[in-house]
Amino acid sequence: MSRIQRQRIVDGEPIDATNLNDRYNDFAQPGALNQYNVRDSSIDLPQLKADWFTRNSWEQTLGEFNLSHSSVNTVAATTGGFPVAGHVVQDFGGTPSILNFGLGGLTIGTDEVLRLYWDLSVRPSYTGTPWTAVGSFSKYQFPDPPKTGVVDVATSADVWVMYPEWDVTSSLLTNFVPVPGQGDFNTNYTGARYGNALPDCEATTVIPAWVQVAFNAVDGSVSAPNLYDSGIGWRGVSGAWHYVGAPTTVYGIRWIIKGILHPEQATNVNYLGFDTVAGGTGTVQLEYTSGKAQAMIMRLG
Amino acid sequence: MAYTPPNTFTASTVLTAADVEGNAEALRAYLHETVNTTDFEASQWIQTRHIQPPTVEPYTGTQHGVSGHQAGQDASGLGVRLSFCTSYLTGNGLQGADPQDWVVIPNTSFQLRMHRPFRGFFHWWMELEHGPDNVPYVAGHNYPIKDRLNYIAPYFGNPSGADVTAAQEGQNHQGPSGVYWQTATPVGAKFPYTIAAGYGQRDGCMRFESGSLATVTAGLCYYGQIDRVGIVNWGIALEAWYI
Repeated sequence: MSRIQRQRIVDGEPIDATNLNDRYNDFAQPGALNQYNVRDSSIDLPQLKADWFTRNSWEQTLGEFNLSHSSVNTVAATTGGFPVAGHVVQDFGGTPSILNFGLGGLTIGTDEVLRLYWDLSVRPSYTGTPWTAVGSFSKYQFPDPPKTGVVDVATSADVWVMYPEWDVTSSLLTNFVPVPGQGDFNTNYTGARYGNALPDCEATTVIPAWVQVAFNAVDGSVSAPNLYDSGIGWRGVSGAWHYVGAPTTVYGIRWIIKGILHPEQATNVNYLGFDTVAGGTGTVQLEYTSGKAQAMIMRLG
Repeated sequence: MAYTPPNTFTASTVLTAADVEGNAEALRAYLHETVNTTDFEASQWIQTRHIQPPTVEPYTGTQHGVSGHQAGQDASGLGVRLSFCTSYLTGNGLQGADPQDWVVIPNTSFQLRMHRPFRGFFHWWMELEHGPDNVPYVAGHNYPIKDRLNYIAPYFGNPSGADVTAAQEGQNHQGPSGVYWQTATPVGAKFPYTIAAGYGQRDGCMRFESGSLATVTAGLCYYGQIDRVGIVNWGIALEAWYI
């Protein structure tokens, strides 16, 4: 018995000694009483004690706050040189933003779940039309009837990615690796192409690099003057991930930004791979200021 | 120390009010003062009975459950049920307006009476349409049309406690070559929000805690430089527990 579920006495019901004793003895069970009965449910809806159902929680600022964006951090697009380390999310002074679990770390036991949330204010930007570069994955061509050729358009599928890494070795925080289910986008899947198979993107936040649209398309033909590329602008992006699995101790979590990447396929596998051509054309970059990360560890009932 | 009834009742004997009251009084003292962790069940449990279905309020177009609240077009009801943010309540889009001008977004807050020190997670999401705002740009008074932003931030307590570090922006609808409005019927945005940066889904989380008993409020507020931001749908959820 953990939860007291005895029906109340109603009018006309005789008082019986056994029944009466049982009602008091409901509470006389050392190690068996559920606090839901004695405190929480009597006042609130189930508010659970921190070390009982929800063991603990944490929060960390990512980047650095600047409402007017007068100061920002800037990440340049990758143009080659694999494997790529990526950009560690940090404040304006270069100090990485790490969700730190302290010297002893956080032990995630059997039947426990670590829940992780994050968000960040970002602005993708570019100069020129990087998607028109020869070899860009984002380059697509439509017939251009007023002329005798084609017009280059963007697939608008180039993206920046942001994902968490954790350190499960020591509190020195020098051995960060992508969290389970997440790859580092350094898999050489064919030729000189690098990226992640989609099943390895379980903790990936995707941020569009640009959007281009065409107006007044006629019979599948697009005229260059009717193309319009829209600034993505400042926006909040977010992500979430959870871990349930073999017991482990995690000492810290940080976030990595990489880009730009584009969906493609090789040997019948879908990938998100680096578009180094578009990334190296003009100035392709991602600016960011601040966000928050939260973690919570809970027992699974 | 576990509760022990001071009086045990026996069949066919007189039941006295004093004995019943004695047991009840001892139980009251136990529940209010002496319950300790060794009395509690050590194993973990949660039952489906603890998950309660939401209540739908069709007139207001909202639904709320034990720990969740949703409103907007997807909630229920007929007709358009947008909510709004507007620069006219947050410094009129003035450059350098005081960030204390954060304003509550209606129907996006929770209030709970907490009887012990507590922690909580506040989750939120919403779909927004930013602008178009083509109020002429005047240097020093407002921001260039394409640069106008609307910030959504969670708050704990009241909007002066906005967690601005977690604020998420949306940028004014970007019209090609400065063309934002279609003046012929239907009047409105010249281009779809979804392709002109004006539409966006935002979501986030906020952790909060207090070391004292309190009636706690957690919700969403905004600071806007755009004259009109429509909130199409939104939802909030709260997790709270005693520490």
